Amino acid sequence: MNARWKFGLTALSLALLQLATLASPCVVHAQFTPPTVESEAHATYPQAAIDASRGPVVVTLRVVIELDGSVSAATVLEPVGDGLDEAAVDAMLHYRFTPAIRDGAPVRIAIRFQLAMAPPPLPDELDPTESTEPTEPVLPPPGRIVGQLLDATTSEPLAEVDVAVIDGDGAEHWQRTDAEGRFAFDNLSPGTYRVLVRPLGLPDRVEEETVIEGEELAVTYRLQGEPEEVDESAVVEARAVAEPPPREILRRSIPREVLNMVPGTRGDPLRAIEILPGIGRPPFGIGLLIVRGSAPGDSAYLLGGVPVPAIYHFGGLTSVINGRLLERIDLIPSNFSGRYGRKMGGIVEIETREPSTDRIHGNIEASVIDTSVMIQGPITPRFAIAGSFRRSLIDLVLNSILQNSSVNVVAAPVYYDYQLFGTWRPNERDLVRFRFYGADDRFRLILGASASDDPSVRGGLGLTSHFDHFQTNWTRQIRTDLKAETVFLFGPAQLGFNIGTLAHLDLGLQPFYVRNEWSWDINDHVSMIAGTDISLGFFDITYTGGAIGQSEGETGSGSQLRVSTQEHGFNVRPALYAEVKYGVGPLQLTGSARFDYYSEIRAWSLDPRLMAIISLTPEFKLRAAAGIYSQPPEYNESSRGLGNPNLDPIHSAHFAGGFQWEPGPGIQFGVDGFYKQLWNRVVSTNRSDAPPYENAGVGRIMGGELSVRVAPTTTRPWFAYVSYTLMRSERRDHDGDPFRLFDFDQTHIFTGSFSYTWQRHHWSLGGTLRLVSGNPYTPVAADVFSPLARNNYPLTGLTNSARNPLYNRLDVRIEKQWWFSDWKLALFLDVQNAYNQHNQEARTYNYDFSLSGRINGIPIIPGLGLRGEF
Amino acid sequence: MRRTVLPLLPVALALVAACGPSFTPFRFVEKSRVVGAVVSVAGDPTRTTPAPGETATYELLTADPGPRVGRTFTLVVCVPGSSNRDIVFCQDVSTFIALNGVSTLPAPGDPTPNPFVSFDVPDEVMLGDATELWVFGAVCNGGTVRDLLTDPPQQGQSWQPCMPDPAAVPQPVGQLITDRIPLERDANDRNHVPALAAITLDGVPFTYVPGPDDPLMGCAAGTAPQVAADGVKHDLVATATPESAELYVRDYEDAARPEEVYFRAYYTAGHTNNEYDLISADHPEATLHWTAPIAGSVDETGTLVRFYFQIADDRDAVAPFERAVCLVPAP
Repeated sequence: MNARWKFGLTALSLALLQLATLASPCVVHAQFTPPTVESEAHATYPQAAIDASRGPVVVTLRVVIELDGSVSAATVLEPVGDGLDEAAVDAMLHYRFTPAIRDGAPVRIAIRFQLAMAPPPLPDELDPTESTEPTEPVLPPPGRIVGQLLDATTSEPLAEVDVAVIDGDGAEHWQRTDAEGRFAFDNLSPGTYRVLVRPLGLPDRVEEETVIEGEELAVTYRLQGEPEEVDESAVVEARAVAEPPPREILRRSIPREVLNMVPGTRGDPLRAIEILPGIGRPPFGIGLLIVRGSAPGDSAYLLGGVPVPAIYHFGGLTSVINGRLLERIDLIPSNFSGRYGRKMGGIVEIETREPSTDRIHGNIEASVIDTSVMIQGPITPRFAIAGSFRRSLIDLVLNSILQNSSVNVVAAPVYYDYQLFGTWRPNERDLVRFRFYGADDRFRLILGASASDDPSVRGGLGLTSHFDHFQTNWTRQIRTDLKAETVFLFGPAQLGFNIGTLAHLDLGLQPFYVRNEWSWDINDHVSMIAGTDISLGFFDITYTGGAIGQSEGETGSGSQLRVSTQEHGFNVRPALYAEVKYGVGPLQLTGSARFDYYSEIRAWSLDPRLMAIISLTPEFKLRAAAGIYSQPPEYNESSRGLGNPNLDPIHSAHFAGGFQWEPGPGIQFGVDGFYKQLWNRVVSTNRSDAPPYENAGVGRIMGGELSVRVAPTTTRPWFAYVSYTLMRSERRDHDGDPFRLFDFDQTHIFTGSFSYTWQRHHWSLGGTLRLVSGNPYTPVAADVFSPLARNNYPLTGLTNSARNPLYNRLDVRIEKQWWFSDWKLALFLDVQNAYNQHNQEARTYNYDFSLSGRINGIPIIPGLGLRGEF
Repeated sequence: MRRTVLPLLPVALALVAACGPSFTPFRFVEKSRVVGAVVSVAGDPTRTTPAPGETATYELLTADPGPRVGRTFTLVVCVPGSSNRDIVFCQDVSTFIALNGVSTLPAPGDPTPNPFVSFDVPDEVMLGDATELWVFGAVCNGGTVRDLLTDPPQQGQSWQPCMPDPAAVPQPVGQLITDRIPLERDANDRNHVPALAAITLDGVPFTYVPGPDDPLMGCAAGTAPQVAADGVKHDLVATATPESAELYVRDYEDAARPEEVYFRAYYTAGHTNNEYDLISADHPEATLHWTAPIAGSVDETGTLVRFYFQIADDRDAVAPFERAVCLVPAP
């Protein structure tokens, strides 16, 4: 039995073990005094539930209990709809508990709580002694709503927050809270109202309230401002909820409130990661991920824990996932957990939002680039879905521009993408998330009867790219201290391109991906994660064209040697990983190890990793980490026809350290340093009679990052992200060569992004400024002419020995929203390169390289768009 | 595939390149240079793919904006061997099978033939699996060529094919040459040179062939067809013989398809919007739209405009032919 089948059986066994736990009993840990209910609050049964004849229901919530027994936050875990969820949350916020006790001291804790709610008695159930005789019709006396807004964390009143009551006809009545966070709406006719709270910089909150004739309804809304610090190790009668422990010393997150607001991104959240420290700027903004001086192929985007083959349409125009479906984007710039493998740069984790469970929501957006529609809502109380579709409009624009040119567009650039996400909660323990998504890009030009000055570029220029992902994540809380997750993916993909007669590629992939992971909280101090993931698949590749050089540091603009191959085969890359986290006092230590096997090169790697965090104060943390990271060569590099199947994995050692200081709510200041050593890099042999690639390259990357983040809060209507990275990334391709600069070495990277929202008038204005060292390039030293093929080839100078000038650019975004009773309309203008700076991105040459000139990046691009939401 | 985005780079570059500076196109002959090459088999000059054991000639096609200049050159033919991976260089003397060169410029009035090298294709045993021969050389237009064999170009360093000439203004310019000569290893490899059937200028047969030493100025008194320098567009229409498009089986295809045949031109004045046009059974007449330069840039005695035409197939077989018009001031 060969290795890949052994690993397959291991994964299968683990999955079966998870299935076997379906009937396992819960375990009660007794080293803890759980909280108990001290005083209850009445939960108002909403009219919508009465109208729907719902009857008695039980709502399951996650409730955060403070040290004094008050409830600071309540979140519905299993929505039941019809306004019952909101009513349950409102009631829970008025509950009081005896605090949880550990080691004789109260602790802050999150528990799972089930709240029973019953409808009020029907009229025929009322006391028969009450008079039912008809009376003269009179207008009922008006009622009123009085309320107060409090910060859920500090319980401080929230002043200057806009609050509205919206009646059944959609009429809005606005107020702003006073210094005590109070508001009052008088003379309200009896009935159901929606109370809309627009906290500055936070998502809106909508509550449904019922006004009874002649009565005053008093409400208190606690708004969640900052992420909660919850005691993670507490276990309460199998109901305590332990959030997953952090696996990295540094995880930079962009929350949902900021994702769609970053100027220069057209509201595309995936472009927003460019404001984070350590992120390099690719030329022309083509969407390459350059993290801390690592090559683009060394880093990955993960969606739900699974790599996404292409994250942008047309190399950076827009991302392939509708930004309104994203919950959070995390960047792990280095020293990531053993849970991630086959990459040695950085990781970008994309987390999608769970579909709305209260009602149907939707979103329609259109700009000159593309248009999209998104809709989400519940199917059953336990099953909700979200779907989105987007199609490009740029083909219409480009067709008009090129209509009279010598470039004959036979298939204009067209792209589309789709997402269908579902969340199913069959019971309290299980969560199943379905993600079906994909993208398609097509682009083809016919260069007339050779419109090109370069005689080698003749004929067609085309690109096709398509992928579909069918992904399922199943998470099961087996016990309070034990959780398992299984991920399955099937993701067929095709890629093809041709450049005239120079190159032609057709690549077909049928990959499968399986991951099974177990998380176990062994005791208050120790927890561990263990799992396996297997990437396997079939491939078909046909290629004819110039010999493909090394992926980075390629000096020529083409190869005179032509190669052809037609291959099909099967690859499997299984892995096992384990991680142990140990926390005592202010110290948290995490050690992990990962074993990978790569069938295409018949090689394996074992990567140990260690990280430590010391919390000197709750606001100040020191961090340090070291680890080994490995990845296989690219497919073409290990291909039998195009490359060298005897290559070894590529390795990197990561060292990082720094500190983080949080002087106030939402304010974070960080300083980090890093060093990476690379070896076994795959480089060209540069000899026509040898295998085209060998593991002869090394590299070194060092740098420091300074970052300041001010996040929006309930009282802060703005955000600011400022970062500066000083870095040097070098490579050496062969023994004896001098070190040279990495293709995207950027000594200085400064990014400042700011946005302010005028909540009352629904205006927002922001800007992003980038100052980045120009990318290196290789000058041309001489020209070689091939008369039969009539091609000119450059003889290049020293690799990356010249550099483009400093890149600078300002993006501006302005948005105006109009609010209606059931929907919102937004008009936005996102201007990229607002002062039309001519930034040199590359050099262009005449046919024999005797003359050269500059190619500039994007000019000013005003992107006007319209968005409707309901 | 992790680098699925990388193929997009040429697309992005192609799109933004339109925003870059514009240079003189390859098809405009603003200086003396090599513009192509032909291979012909001894005893059967219609064939361009020599078989093992046959003798063949590799000849560079040159173009000049005026009378032909003298050239010095070195050309080496070798069997494929060890070389720089990007550019094929004949570096190992043991692989050389032919060498030809001219190191001094011809005297004024002497003929100035195109640079060439004749060679015998090795036998099957020596060739092994090779399907091609390599050519490596240097040409200096109007000067003395640098010694390619003792002072070859090095990766990462500048290399000029011409020896510096303190007396020359401007300095002579040369070209480093590398090429791959396809061999006939089976019947599918056999390739014949396409042939011109007819060419017209604005519907009239275009037959005037200039002499290599014809002066640039003073053609108005001669027999070359005259064209006014008025910026008007003229049609150059060529047809190829039906046999020009041969059938052959391409890589990874099962059935044979006809070659693609091109009609292209290099010229010394004016401009065309396209470098070439395709000739096919459905489209037998290939057209290049040549626009004459405007008045003011033309000498009263007439300026000779040379056209270096080529009928070529997609397997790099070329049939060259020259024509010329006399550009006179617009009335």
